[in-house]
Amino acid sequence: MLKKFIAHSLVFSLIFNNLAFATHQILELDFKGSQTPQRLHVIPRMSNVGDVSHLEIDTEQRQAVVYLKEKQEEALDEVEKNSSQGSDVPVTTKPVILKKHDIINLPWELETEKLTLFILNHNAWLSPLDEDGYKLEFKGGLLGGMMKKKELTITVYPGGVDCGGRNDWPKGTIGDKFCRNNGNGLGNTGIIVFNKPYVPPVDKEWEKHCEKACNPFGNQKPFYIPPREDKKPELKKVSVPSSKAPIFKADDKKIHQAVGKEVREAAQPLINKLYFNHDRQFRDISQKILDFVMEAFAPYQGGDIPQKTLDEIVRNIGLRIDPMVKKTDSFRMINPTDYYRVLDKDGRCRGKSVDQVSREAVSRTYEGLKKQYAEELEKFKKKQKIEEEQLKKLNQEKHTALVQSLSQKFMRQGRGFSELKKPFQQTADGSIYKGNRYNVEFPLSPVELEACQGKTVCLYSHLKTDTPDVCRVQVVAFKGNVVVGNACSEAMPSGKWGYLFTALHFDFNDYDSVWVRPLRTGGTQDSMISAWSYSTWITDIPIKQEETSHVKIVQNSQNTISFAFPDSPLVYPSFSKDRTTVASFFPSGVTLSSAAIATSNWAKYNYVCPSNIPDSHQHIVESTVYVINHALQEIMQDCSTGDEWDKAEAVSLIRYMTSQHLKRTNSESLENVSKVKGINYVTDYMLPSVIRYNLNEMQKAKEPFDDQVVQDWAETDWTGLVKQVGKKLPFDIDPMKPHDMFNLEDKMAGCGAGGGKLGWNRILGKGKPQQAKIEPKGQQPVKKVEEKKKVEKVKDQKIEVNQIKINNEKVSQANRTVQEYLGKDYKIMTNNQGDKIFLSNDGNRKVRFDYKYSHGDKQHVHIEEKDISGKWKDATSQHRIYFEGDLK
Amino acid sequence: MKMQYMEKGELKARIEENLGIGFYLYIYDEKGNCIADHLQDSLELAKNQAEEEYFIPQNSWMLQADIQD
Repeated sequence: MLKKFIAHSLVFSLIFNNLAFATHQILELDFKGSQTPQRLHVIPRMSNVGDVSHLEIDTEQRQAVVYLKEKQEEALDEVEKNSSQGSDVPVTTKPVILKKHDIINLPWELETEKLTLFILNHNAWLSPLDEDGYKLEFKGGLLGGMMKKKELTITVYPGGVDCGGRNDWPKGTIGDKFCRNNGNGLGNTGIIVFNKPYVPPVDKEWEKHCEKACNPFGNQKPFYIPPREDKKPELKKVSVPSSKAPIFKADDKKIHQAVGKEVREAAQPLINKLYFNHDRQFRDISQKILDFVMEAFAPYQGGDIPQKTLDEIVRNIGLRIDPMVKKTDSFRMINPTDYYRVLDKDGRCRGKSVDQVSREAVSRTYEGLKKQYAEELEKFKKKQKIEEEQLKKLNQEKHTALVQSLSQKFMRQGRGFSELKKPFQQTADGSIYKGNRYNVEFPLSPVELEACQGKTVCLYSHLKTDTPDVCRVQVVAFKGNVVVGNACSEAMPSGKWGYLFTALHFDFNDYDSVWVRPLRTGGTQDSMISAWSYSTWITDIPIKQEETSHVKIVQNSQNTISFAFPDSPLVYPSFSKDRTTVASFFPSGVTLSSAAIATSNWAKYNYVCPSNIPDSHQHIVESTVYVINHALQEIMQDCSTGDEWDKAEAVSLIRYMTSQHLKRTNSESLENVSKVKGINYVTDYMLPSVIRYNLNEMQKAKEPFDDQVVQDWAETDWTGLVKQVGKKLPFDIDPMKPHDMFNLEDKMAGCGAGGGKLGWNRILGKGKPQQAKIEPKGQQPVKKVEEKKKVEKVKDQKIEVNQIKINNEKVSQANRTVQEYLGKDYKIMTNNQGDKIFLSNDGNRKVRFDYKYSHGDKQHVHIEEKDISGKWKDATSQHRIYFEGDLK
Repeated sequence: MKMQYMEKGELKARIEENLGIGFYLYIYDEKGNCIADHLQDSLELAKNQAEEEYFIPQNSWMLQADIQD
């Protein structure tokens, strides 16, 4: 029965793409200008109504809070109750499936929306009230209601009703309608309430206020494009009585087909609903996924699905998760929809759901930029015609620069980073949205996509973070609403200026859209703005689509799923099944944990990429793997360090990294890869682009069609420009020294602040399966170089009295390193187990030895540093550092 | 010694106060192996870290005494 429930739940979750299994949280009712509750939303978006204990209603504050009760006990009670009654009602567990968009920010009085509650326990009742309208109850608790002046249409889904053995339900309730004399139900598993459109009263004062508050871009209106004229598909009513659903054998082909057809028909309204709720462009992929799911589950309608088969199905489909799973409050901060929030005169959120507004804005932006691009292109063609002879003289390099320049213009228009401060400043609801709860992100315009087509694009930002955590830049590519590529820059050390780089390969055949955003797990709006303001794209990096890889899914012992990319050692994400049902993969070469989690929350859907995926999805797999490879390569080889590179070092390291990579991928074309990527990219594109950006800032960005600009771009003597503008740059051209990174090698190896996030000591380090065994000729392993430097540094320092008893050379060296790390006058503490803890004099660095009590593990040591929030974090990429030999 | 305990699925965690030292956060796998140990200055920081790195909600912690009851 459990399997059956899981299967049904899975089907539901796939059909209702925005359904979500409930988790424990609080429901909140919002009373707005009325004594009758008119709005219902859930914070966070998925809540378990089954956990409701009681309601507290504060009429003065016009709010209500639903309190939770003990979940496990009640669930057991419910099971026992069902069992004892011998009811033919399917046993269900406590979670209640809530349709996300109909619950979240549900302004019943504002929108033409349907409210659909799927309540598996059938304990929700919609009851008429004499005066006020209707109320929605759950286990005696008030969930919501609406004014009687609105017309209601109630549609019932086929299925069973849990009548609880009663036949005395109040008149007008679902129980009254469907429960028979014997207390069993025939009716519904779902309640659909159609709400008529609501026209808000004209409020001139509010409209006047809203002119500014609702349009953060003022008259520039980069997002204002007439809305689409798509017609909503009609919902086709199809009913499949559950009583007719027989139990079929999986190997009965005819029945398989018949039931498959029946299920498809039954699912049609749901598919329509899916289309209704999402952009048309996502139809194809949604249909394919649905087809596959329905086909896979068809033989098992009415019967249990073998676990093995279920596992196989799960592995073979792109399971989607609700993006609004919010783990902690910090993830609310990166909710992109906050940006589009519309405020009323009191500073309260008003109007359409922010999610919807966001999507519409994006869509309009996209269409608008297309239109603008078409106009600009038309102008360009006219000019091209007039200056045909002149343009013919332009070589391909200049033409590329022109396209890129055009791209730059549209990027800035679309994002308008100088206008971004407006919504932050105008935020009225400071108690909720003050500070850093904003994020800014934009889809790339068609122009940008065209400019980037076939290229690996590197976005770099120069910024300073003032947060204890990180700030980074992220690029995400979509195929439909499936994330097929993602690259994220490395983490930044706190409070310091530095560069962030991220790269992604663009291919129209693989992507529908690409989004870019400054991403943070901490940080302020200023840091994000600065990240965006100082971001520039580099596109001229031709890449051959020559390498492939494959993907394996591994379920590990910690209830997570890991995705192993044998040819790409940098990819090692794992995600909790509890949170995501099935997780997604993220081809990022850097700190996967926070970046991937943030993306999983942010992305509309995430995709599971198995090795034996059906043909209909093969292209996604291939493109994704392709992107992974190249994004990783670019991040590793080109984008992982700052500017002002020593060319000789860069060349050496890139060659080394390339050779390492090719060893892993068994590629034979080392020479070709070196030609295509790497060396020229670093010196010919990255540094010039940094300079060009600042030059343009100084010159207030000449028109992109100015031939002189193009000429400058193509023929500039960059070395000379460094001298010309160097003193006026808004940042230090050499970001490494402040981070104690003395050269590229140090940074790549993982030394210095922030370096551990990407250092290849971590990537190629001990225990990594992809570690190269043979070093290329003429190249020295970086680890050895690093160790050599450390030894040289230690030699130059006076070693103080040993505080740790040691008896072998390795530990002695470790001890010296620890002293070097802690500095002078460090403190020594002993915990209850007798293990030593060394604390630096300033209290910001700590070394912990676990050798008397090592928690069942091998003896080890922790090297930690305190961040700004006061939290101790590992200072190295390893949580536990093991020592060989006897520490005692 | 204050001890707090949490169990979610196959993941178990424990926070243990070490007087004068701080609060140890131990993370265990389903076999009971300690896969991570952290030392924070306060109980709040330990819980924050558990939430951020291991997805353990703040409100899921229980005092050891409560569990025994």
